[in-house]
Amino acid sequence: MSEPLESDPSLLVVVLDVNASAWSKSPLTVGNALQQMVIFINAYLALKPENKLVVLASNKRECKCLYPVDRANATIERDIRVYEQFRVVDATVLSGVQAMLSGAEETVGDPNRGIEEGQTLMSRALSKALCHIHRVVDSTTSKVWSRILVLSAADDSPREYISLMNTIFAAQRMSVLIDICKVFGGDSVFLQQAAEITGGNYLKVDTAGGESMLQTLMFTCLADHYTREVLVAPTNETIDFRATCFCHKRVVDIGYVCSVCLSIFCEMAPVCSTCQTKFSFRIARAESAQSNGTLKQSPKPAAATAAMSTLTLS
Amino acid sequence: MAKGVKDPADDDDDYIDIDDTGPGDLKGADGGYAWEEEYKRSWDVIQEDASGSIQSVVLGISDQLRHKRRVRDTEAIQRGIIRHVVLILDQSESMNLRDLMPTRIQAALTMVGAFIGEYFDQNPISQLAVIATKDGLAEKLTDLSGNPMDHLGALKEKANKDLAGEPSLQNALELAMHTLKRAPTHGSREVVCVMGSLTTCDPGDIAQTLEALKLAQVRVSMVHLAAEVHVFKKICKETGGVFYVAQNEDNMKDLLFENVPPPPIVSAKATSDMIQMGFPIKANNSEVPTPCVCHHELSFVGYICPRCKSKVCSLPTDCDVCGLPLVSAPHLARSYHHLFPEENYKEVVGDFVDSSCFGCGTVWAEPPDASEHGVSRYRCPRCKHEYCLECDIFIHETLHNCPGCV
Repeated sequence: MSEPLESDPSLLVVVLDVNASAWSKSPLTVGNALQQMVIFINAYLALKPENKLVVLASNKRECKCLYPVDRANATIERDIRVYEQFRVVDATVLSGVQAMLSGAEETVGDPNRGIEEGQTLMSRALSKALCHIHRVVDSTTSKVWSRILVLSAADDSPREYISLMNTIFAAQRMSVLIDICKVFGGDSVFLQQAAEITGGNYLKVDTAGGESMLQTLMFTCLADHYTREVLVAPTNETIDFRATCFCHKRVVDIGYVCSVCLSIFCEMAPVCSTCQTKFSFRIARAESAQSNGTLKQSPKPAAATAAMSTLTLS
Repeated sequence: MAKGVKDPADDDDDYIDIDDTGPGDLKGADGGYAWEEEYKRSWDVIQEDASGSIQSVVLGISDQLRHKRRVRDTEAIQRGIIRHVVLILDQSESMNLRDLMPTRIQAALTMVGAFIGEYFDQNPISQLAVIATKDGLAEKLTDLSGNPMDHLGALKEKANKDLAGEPSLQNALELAMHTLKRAPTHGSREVVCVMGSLTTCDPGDIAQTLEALKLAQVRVSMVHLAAEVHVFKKICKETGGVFYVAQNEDNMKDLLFENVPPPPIVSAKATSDMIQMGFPIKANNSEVPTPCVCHHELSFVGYICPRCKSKVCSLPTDCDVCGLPLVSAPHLARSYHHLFPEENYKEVVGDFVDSSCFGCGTVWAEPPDASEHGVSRYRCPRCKHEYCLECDIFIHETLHNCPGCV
């Protein structure tokens, strides 16, 4: 993977969470947040003429691409006082969000497959964002550095965990940064991990306490891959990657993992409760064989560490 | 096509099969011997379209090939998620030949490097070792480890220098077996060879090695860069692996990458275990840099092994001090897609629903004519959304998530 250059263009995918019921709890109104986001988008487009933009909006039922749209059915009157591209983007994004917010109320009660009120199809939005990025990167000959900015409102939905992890690792592999902007509510554990694994920023803006979302976005998320190497990003408190066991929901340091289905348990059991596999209880032997092997054969640990490990083991 | 090439994945009509040990013995499709059939020319398949251009046909064929390449087996079978693979790389004189560009060894090294990256991306809690063979000897470049950087570094350092003599498959397999002997029984034991030589220079009877391999349940697969060799193929076949001959650089990559997803478990002896694993906490609050146990380098950040409190610099890995496998919860989640693979999309003929690709939003070009290879669309059987070929391949190879189903 080559290093980013100053002249390389960027691709920004903005994922807007337009879940009406989640936004109703917000101290910042949707309209206000959108206005600030549009200013940020315009600033991004103004930075470099080659910069590309995709805007996706997602609520609990659907995920739509707001920009770019098919030019044929977009009827936007021209305004000579405004830069053409800004105007097109602003108008399509705002009208698209409006349509989604008003459309959401009419179809309450349709089969939304276990997604509760106040949760959003975030993994679908991120999957689509990566598809868009893949398409753009594939079709352009020059190197394009991509990143995703999520304006998150809703809470995590636990059933999305695996699909979100898939998207996060796919993003990491494509060197796509995921920035998260959380305007209100509690921390989203999944999205925190998304930012941490991909190397993006997780921003929690305290709008009720007077912090400006636009200011935070401008200072942290406007920078491209090249600039981020020289900037000091706002630090996050340590993110806990420890697992919780399936049996008691306890956070475990050392857990036992079923070799068939990878379920995590906090203590030994004769049968895996997830996949009903019976275990053959060779754990002690297999493990001691392995660590002995490490001692004898691995060239790396120096004599001192080897002595230490004998102490720990015996 | 000058070489005796064979790729079992390509058994369709427009493929020129000049291999004499195909699946149907020596008989061709119509009952006669393969060499009695009419000679098929690859250029006969290509027909000009109405405007006299062959571009659309060529595009169509390449699309078909790409689609075929990624159609995978999606049955929910038990797969050995925790794998132990030994990669054997031929470093004999024959790797100096220039039939693959720029040389065989350079092409092989590029592919092996890509393979290692992909392997650890798809199998984060698995391990790999690298063995090189030349001058009738086998040398272990890296021991079983879960850190891709170790292997890539070792390959870069040693592998392309001093190609000499003949390889010894027996020595390499014996060394691989020795390496895999201490792998726990719940994990799979596999050997992947990249060979260029048509001979092997062995100290003893390789048939005995084959028996030992079968006994130790080691699965041997091989990608050969020149031609089929009976003994190589026999070893692969009898241990349950696959033997391929690469036609060109791209083909070699495809064949090697077939070893990236974990193979299904067929052996009845495979046991299941509870594996003890550590979930370390990231430590980055220290004022003073401390050395890590894996590379002995000073660093501020690291992960603390919950059992022996030593510091390692990356996950997933095995603790170098106490041997505890160290992973993070996302790595386990990363392996789930092998257990629940996405369904293969089916090509849509006629009766279109969506007006654009559900993934990347590309609006379909003019309504495609069924007779022409205009725009291929693929539909997910579960969510009934349509995708373009680009997204189809991307979803199945990288994302492992159908945007419509999640």
